[in-house]
Amino acid sequence: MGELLNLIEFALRGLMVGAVYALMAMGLSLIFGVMRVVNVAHGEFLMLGGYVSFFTWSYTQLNPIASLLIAMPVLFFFGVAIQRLFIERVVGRPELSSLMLCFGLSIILVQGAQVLFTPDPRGFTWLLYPVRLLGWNFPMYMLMIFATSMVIAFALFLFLKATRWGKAIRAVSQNYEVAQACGIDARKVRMLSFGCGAALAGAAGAFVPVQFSLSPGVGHEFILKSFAVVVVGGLGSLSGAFLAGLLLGMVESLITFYFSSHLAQLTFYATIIVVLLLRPGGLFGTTET
Amino acid sequence: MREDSQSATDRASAAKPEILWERVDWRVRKALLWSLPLILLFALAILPYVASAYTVTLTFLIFFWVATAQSWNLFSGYTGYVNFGYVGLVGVGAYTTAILIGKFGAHWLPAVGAAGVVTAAFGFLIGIPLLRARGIYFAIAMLGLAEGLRVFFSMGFMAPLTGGGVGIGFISGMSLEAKYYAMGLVALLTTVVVFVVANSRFGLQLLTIREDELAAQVMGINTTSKKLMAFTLCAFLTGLAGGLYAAYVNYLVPATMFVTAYYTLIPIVMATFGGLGTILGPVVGAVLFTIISEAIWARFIFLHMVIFGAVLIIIILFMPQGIIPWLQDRRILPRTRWL
Amino acid sequence: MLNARIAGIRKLLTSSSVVAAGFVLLTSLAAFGQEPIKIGISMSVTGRFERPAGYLFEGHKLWEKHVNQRGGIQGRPVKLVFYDDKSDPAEAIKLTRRLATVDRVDFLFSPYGSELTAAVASVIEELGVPAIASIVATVGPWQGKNAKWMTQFSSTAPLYLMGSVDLAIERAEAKNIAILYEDTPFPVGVADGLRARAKERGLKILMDEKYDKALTDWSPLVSKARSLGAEFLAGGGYYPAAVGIARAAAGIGYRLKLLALVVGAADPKFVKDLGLLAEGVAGSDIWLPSVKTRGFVVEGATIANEDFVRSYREEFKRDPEYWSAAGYGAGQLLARAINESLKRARKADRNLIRDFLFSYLGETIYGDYGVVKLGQADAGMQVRKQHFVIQWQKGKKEVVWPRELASAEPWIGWPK
Repeated sequence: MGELLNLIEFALRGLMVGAVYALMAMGLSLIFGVMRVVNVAHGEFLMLGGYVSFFTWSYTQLNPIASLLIAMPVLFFFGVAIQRLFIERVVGRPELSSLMLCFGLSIILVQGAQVLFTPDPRGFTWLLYPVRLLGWNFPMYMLMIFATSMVIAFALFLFLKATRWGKAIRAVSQNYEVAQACGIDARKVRMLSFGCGAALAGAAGAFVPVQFSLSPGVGHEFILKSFAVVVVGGLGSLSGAFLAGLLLGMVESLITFYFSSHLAQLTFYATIIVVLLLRPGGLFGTTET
Repeated sequence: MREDSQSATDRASAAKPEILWERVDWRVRKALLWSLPLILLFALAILPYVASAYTVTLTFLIFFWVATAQSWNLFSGYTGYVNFGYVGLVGVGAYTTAILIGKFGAHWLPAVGAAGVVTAAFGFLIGIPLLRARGIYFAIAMLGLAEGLRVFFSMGFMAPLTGGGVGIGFISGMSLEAKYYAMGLVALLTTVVVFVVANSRFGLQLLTIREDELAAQVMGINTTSKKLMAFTLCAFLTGLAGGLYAAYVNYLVPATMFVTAYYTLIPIVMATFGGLGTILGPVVGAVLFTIISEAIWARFIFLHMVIFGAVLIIIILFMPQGIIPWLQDRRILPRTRWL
Repeated sequence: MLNARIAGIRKLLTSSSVVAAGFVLLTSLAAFGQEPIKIGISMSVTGRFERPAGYLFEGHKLWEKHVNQRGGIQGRPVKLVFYDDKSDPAEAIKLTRRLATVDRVDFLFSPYGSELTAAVASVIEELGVPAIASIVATVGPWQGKNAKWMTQFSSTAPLYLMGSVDLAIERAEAKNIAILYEDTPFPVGVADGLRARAKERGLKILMDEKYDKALTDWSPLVSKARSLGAEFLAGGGYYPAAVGIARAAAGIGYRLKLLALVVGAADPKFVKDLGLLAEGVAGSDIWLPSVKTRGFVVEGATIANEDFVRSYREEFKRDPEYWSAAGYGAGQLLARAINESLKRARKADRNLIRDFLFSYLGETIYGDYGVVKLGQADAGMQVRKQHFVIQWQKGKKEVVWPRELASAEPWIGWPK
């Protein structure tokens, strides 16, 4: 019985870690679904979101959840700008172009952050006390992060389902030509979705100073795992990305405890390969034509 | 009537645009094309005896980048499948040599040769499943593979062989000259292979796959076996380069070896800059990039990564097909089977 | 009349050219005598090691400035020549060769850290340039290698947290230990020391686990330690690991007798990031601003550690870290060696300097220095540098071990 309780505790904690992966992956999936661009610089949006959150805390003591109200819009407009200036030009070109372009952006963003913010690691402590939930101890900040991620994910789904622009985004990602024929301005949709994707990454990043340790290179720690999540969930499928994020967070946690952390990390990459072999479109995505 | 056809021919020949290279007198062209390569080969052959150890080392690294950029080009440039996990192949080759020399006391020659064979076998085995994925999925799968390899080489149960996270150190028993000539030969071999492939039916089949894989299948090309062949060939050559690279560094740690942002990205940038699907493109890219990086970026020490990122973006936005096709488009260079 | 004037002008021209020539000759002779002593460094300006290498380099630079301010070593100024190795071993090798053969440096400071230095070690031996490995904590380049040109300035990884084991046993009365560490060369070395010491003193090792460097959440591993009943948790990785492990442990309500983490816990940012949670966490310091050491500057002058700290703050507007002290101290050692050579042979002779580096026993602001002698299997390996176990108390870093050098009594139990 004790063993089972242990397992559930880790699974739940992994679920909370997975919420961050889920947010990142949803952003990636959204961008890919609309533009067929794999944003290798996505980790840098996470990093920037982290710095917004950190500096907001340093100067105003505003907690990370409230600072999302600043971080997300900032990252949104930043994303729109990047899309308009750079990404737009490589839409429709073979994947190497967008991969390399995003890599170049990633390098510049990291270096720029190093110059602006110095490589010193940053962080702060927030709600770091354990809370007893159903007989287990969980750090309060993790519960808050999880809850916030759920809210954001839910808001995103609502946006995509119920609003005009949300539907436009879905239309463009399903069939670009027909959507244009229906009068949807694909360019605007692309800018919007890239901005949203960036905002999602920024939201995930806002919690990094609390959960991990913020430095200019922190994006690289998360980007590969995000790819794994997106692949499992299906490039272009947001619900897939969401569920896969939670799932992989859980799996990572369990394997680290029961086996070794090497094996847990390996799982991410092995999963990418296995999923792509069995179902190239991912678990929920569509197969690419 | 005759006047019309005459003027029509005149107009036709006048309309044919002139290629800058072909405006040069044919005797001069012939002289250059014969003498320049010979002079270059001679210079490279005697370099270790006339230049400083630093120049030799720099040229060694140029050879390494030529070999890797060219191997990457051999597969990705011709089939259009973006190998974003290239560092994995380099690492497998490097570690094979390191283990054979470090743990089994082998001589470097068989160790490097084995690196080529082992990496080829590895490429073949993972190619079978992975090449089924298309486009972006293949790129991401390869990326996952590279990072997975890093973890794999760090893992505890592999430690007796690989040293795990701590890495493996060894003495290669190779002099700087030996490394230089060996890597030079590998770079030459890789370029020759690309030349042969490019001018063969096989190469044409690969290019067809790049343009439209479905059409290629319809035409009767066994795309699976062709892709696999190209991939295995690329892996073999990469393994050789990786093995020699290990002999140069003498100490491998998974954390510094399997760095995508370096050993995958740089060959891609060089090959793309030079021209994918060309023969000399990667050579041009590798040489130019290394020399520029030494000469200029060493001076802008605190800025050079920013410059690298900016250059990357500029290349992709304004010259995505590469320098050689760009020159060919602008009728400065001819479209021949040599380029 | 005109002739006389022409003659006069000619005389003026001749005499002024003689004077000018003499002046040029003198100044060039003087410049020749003042030709700077060049020291090469392959520095990680970008890449993984950027932060510590930055501090290390600042230490070197401050040393260069202090020496030149005082007229140089026996009148000869020193000059640092550096390039960016991007934290990549292949680049470091290439740059080391460049420094030695193109820039013709007289000596080398090693790149930052074990991985890069291990790569350049064989090149240094091949080129025969005296070198000091300022911050290399693993023994790879020296153990059994019979090194002839590079000595190890800083201490080796196993020694870093060893003292915490003694502290845990003698003051906290811990009965067991859980060792948790990152799987890269330096933390593995630290864990080796912990393990050896624990075995030596009969401390039960309940967990001995290494984790992959890509780990971002330490709660499963920390929970494992707790479920095994560990009272003492030691190890860690780099900065994010120290913060992550402490947070993970606090998050699950883990109570320990002692928590000792390498690297991160000694970083001043640690207390800023964790606040009250940092109280009672132990770490290892190899140098502290408060240590009363002194070292050589130029002939007849020494500088005290506190003066080094003060000038560093003025110059770089931030507090020095131990990497900075290592950089400065390595410079002091080199200056001493060059000084001896200049006194004895009137030039900076490579062999004399190398002999000095291998045989000197003494102190710099970094601490004690002494290596295994030339000719032995482990020649060049550091054997005299001491370590301090530090602990955060009331927001300040106190030395709690060894007892003789302690500035405060150790606190038992964490979190507070």
